[in-house]
Amino acid sequence: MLSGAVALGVNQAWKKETQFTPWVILTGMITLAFFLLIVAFVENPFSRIWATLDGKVFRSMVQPVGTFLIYPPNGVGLNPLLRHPGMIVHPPMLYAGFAGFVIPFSFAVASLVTGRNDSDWLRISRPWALGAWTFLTIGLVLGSRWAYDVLGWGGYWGWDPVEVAALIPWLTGTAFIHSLIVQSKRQLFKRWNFVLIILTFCMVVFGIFLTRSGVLDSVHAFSQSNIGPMFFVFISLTFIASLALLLWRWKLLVSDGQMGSLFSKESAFLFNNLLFILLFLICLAGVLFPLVSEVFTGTKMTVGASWYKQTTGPVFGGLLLLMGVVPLTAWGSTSAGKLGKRLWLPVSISLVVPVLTAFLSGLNWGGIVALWLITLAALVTLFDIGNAVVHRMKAQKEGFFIALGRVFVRNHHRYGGYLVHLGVVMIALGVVGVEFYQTQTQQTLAKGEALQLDSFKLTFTDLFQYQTTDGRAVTQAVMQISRDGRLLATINPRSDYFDLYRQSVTAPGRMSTLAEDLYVVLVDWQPTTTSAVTFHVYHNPLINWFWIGAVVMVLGALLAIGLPDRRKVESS
Amino acid sequence: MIRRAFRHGIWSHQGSHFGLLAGWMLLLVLAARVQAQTPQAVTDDDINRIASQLYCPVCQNVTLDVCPTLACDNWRAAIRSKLEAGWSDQAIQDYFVTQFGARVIGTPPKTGLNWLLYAVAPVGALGLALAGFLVLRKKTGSQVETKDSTEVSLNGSEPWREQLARDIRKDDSI
Ligand code: HEM
Repeated sequence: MLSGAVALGVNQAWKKETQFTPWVILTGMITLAFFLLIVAFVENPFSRIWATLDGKVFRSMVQPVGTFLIYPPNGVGLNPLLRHPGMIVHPPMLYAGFAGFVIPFSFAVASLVTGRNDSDWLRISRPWALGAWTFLTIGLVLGSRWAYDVLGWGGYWGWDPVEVAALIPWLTGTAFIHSLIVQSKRQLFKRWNFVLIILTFCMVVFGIFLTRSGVLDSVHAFSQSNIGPMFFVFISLTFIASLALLLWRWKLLVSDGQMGSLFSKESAFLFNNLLFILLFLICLAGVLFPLVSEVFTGTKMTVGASWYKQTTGPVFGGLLLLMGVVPLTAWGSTSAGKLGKRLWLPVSISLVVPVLTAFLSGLNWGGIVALWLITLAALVTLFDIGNAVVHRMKAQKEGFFIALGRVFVRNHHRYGGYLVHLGVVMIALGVVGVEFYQTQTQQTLAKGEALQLDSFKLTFTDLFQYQTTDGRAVTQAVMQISRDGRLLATINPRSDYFDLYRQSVTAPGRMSTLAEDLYVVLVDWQPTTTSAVTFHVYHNPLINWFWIGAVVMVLGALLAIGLPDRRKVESS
Repeated sequence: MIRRAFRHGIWSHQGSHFGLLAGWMLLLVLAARVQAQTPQAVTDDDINRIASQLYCPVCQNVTLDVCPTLACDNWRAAIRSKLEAGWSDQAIQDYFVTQFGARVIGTPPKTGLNWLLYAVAPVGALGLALAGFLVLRKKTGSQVETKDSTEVSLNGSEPWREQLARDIRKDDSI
């Protein structure tokens, strides 16, 4: 994957920027060489097992002298927890994202080495950065979906260290794709863009190290190896070398542009970057703290979801607020009065939702504020798109759908970005539903008995057990969900016991609608009589907007990347 | 104060009322003690309320409420018996911390080195706010009113026409 990305990147440099070509090749090849070194000498997937006559065992790709090959008996197959369709795509997507960020980094190095002060490296990097970001997003969302479907704790994100390790480059990468826009439009943030891409690249390598080395306690830790020291050396060298390059060119990289005012679009981007960097610092601290505490106190502290939620919650709120304000700002100077004039109407309308929520489901302050921010961001973004469409319809005499399509295609960077924002808003809706309005209960029921959760009645009607041909002992319950006496669905929460692995995997039963999920986990049952069964039931309001939002986000990102413009390619 | 109470006859004139009140209070205290000693009906939800705040001491980053291992089953049973014995949530959490160390709680206690973790967000926010302020001060020197090509207004004012013209020209190069 990495070699493919490097080949494509080099090809692009060759066609568009010959001055960059040797340096892009060199940076790409050094990165590739490092990973090949690890694959060939440290963690060789093709190594075989060899033994000496006196019983010593070696792992090596080639035969050590005086040994013979051992053929292990048939393996036990893939870890049952990983047998989920999302898992086929999740790791390659994450790695495609990681590999993709190598190209903007290589162009940044090339631009620094050649002493260029222009934005050419960014022009070439933008689709790469957006593509890598999109892959990383898909990978993260698929990981969440896997956790929701397989881990059986009713959630999609546990702030597990490995999850956070993958989120960190996503955060710096998101900061980068915004900050590069400012350099392109206003000739600002020239040095900052280098800092961000260096940070993103180092965090990519750091993320791979954390995931693969097993230094962290994680529900996603499926591997353990000795790659730590090599990664440490590589990250340190890369970081120091690229920072040295940047310092060398520091004076050259003066940003000629000016920021209009505190309320201008470029200031909004500045705040956007500050918030993403704050999130990055928080996540980095959370991931590293267990290791730091182990070194200094001998105890590996757990930094759990509650700490992350408390610290990151307000920052995500700030991002939503900015997202709601930014379409109303302008490049250059926007005065407070102007912005206020544009803001009062959407702010007033958006207040309806929190007021209604407070009226209907009580004073849950966190939820109310979050819902207000979500409504504001959605409203302003939709207004913005709607306005553009209406103007097009009037000026060009186009029908609604044609105008809508053209608005998106003609200005795909901007409206692709806003589609991504709408996706973020939907995701936030799902998060708020679970974080602030989730209810749950665990109860043991006999056949025919029912439990009540909010307005739902769940009746346990049957339990049966069977053996499958692929070595699973399945225990499956039948549950009927009804509301106000009306049957809504019949679900089958399951537990699969994998004989060979001696491991159970839960398959929650779910009733999904746009409004909510009822998520039922089969926790325990009486082995012989199967008369009493324990269920854990979660009511997750709005959760499905999380998944829909993820799809919208990816579609928006693809739109923002856009198709290569034939005319531009030909003219260049 | 007591003397004043004597003077105003609380003990003397209203002696019968006070006796009644004292009797009631004694009864209440006794009732509370009896209630604390009788096993209460502890539900799975009570157990999960505490178990969800505790991390399995021997597994990989899993909380006790959802951990499927036998060891966690036993720890959940321990939570049940302590709740039945009238322990408070905090006392049970403290018990687990004493037994297995502070790593069983997901929010490290605010002591010693752990303060470092709690300092990151406020110090980071302050540092970044300062950095932002400095950038803004340095870079907003001249207030150039630029013609804004992407300006948006909910009232559909002038910048919209420019925006539209720009869209139609398909001028969206970076
Ligand atoms: C989690 C939060 C966010 C995500 C995932 C996100 C993602 C994106 C993406 C992928 C793009 C497309 C970029 C391109 O076309 O090159 C974009 C565009 C944009 N973003 Fe965000 N964004 C987020 C938050 C914000 C915030 C807080 C702001 C406030 C400053 C912002 C302002 C913008 C603007 C103005 C554009 C359009 C740029 C243009 O005109 O080309 N975004 N965003």
